[in-house]
Amino acid sequence: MNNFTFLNFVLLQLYTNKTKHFSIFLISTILIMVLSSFLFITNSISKDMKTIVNNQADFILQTIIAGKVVDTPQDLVDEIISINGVTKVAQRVYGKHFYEPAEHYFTIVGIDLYDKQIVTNLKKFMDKIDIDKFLSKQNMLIGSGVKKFLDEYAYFDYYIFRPPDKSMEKVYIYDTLPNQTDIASSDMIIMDINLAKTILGIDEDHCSDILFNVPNIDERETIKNKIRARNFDIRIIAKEDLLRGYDGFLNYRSSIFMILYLIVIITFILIIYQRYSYINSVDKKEIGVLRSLGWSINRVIKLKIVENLIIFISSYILGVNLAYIFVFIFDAPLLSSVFLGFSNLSNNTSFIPAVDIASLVLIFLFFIVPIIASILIPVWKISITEPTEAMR
Amino acid sequence: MTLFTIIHFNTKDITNHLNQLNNFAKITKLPSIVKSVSYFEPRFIEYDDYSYALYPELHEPSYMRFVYE
Repeated sequence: MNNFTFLNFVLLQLYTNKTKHFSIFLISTILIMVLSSFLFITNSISKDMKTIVNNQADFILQTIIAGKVVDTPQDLVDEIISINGVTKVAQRVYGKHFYEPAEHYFTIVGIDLYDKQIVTNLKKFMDKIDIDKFLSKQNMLIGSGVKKFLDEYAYFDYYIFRPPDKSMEKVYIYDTLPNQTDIASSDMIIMDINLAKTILGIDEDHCSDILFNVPNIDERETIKNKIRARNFDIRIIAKEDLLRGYDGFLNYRSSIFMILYLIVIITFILIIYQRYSYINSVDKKEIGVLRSLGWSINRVIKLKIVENLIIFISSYILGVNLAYIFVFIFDAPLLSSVFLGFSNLSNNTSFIPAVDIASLVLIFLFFIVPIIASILIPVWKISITEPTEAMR
Repeated sequence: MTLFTIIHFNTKDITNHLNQLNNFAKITKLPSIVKSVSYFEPRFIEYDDYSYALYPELHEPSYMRFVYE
């Protein structure tokens, strides 16, 4: 029997027993789809996060007192800038605003609108922004999650903040931040740095932390030690630590999902093994007929392997494609909440296509190989029995 | 369907999305992802669990410091 005739026979077999194979095909497709969707979402978020972190300063300096992060004195900016090899020293002002009735948090970020670099980037980010108009009164830019939330509570034009000094700060909504950055900006409120300090209760001569760059990689450790030697109450965090932190954060979620997936896949393999172990009399007779017609054990096993490979490879291709459409075209409804959360403000992040080929190959191997093995063993057991006994 | 996926993957313009993220990161200089996204990180859950209700001043609403640890 040549290969073409053999393949034709396999396809005929599949067609004849289509109802028998359909349930396995359906379950495998769903399993592959869920796993691939998870991988696609993780890759997409990871790509976004790396883009954001790569644009950060080389080092962040925070002040620690009694193990707690406190506001950093601005004097440190002058001290750090005086060190040779340090560039782009800047203060950063940020914090949380807690909206008690709904128990939701907003992230308030203060930016220096007199810094030319920031203004240039802001104009690139939002074409329509007019800085003079923005600074003419107390204005703020809000993330889409904040906008949706404030609309629900009828704050259409402004919001009144209650700073720690018990005063009231009425801040007008200037515009909403673009949706593309929702992963980081959904719960964000951007305003002038001095206004942010008032609302967050940060002293004028303090900031949340200080950023600085050290362009020469060889100098980084020396400069870090120099700053540490001058100040005992500080913590310096490198950009690499941030990247490692986010990798760990995404890997934590991956591992939880992987454990769940392993449980499901093992159960599925056991079901398939059981199905082929308690193979019904029709299947047994079929193998017996083939053996009595002169088919060797190898050929019978080959028939079963090819038959199942066709089912699982097609379910794999269909599952991956469905996952792609589900995640990158429909933005993963329901599943996205697992990753983007639902405890705070809503997030409508659209996922950018990010496909990791290595992970797809890994799924293929981890899925197909154990399943084929679970089929092979019972089929081999039947094949080695005498044809007359198998047909009985 | 595979052909459609391949065409979509190769023609989807992600440059604008990444440029916007780049600009945003340069403006805020903040690497933190939104709170909802980071909520399930074990350190945050632990942080909430160990916050003592009788001494609310111990419960700082700033979760960001955990991002840097």
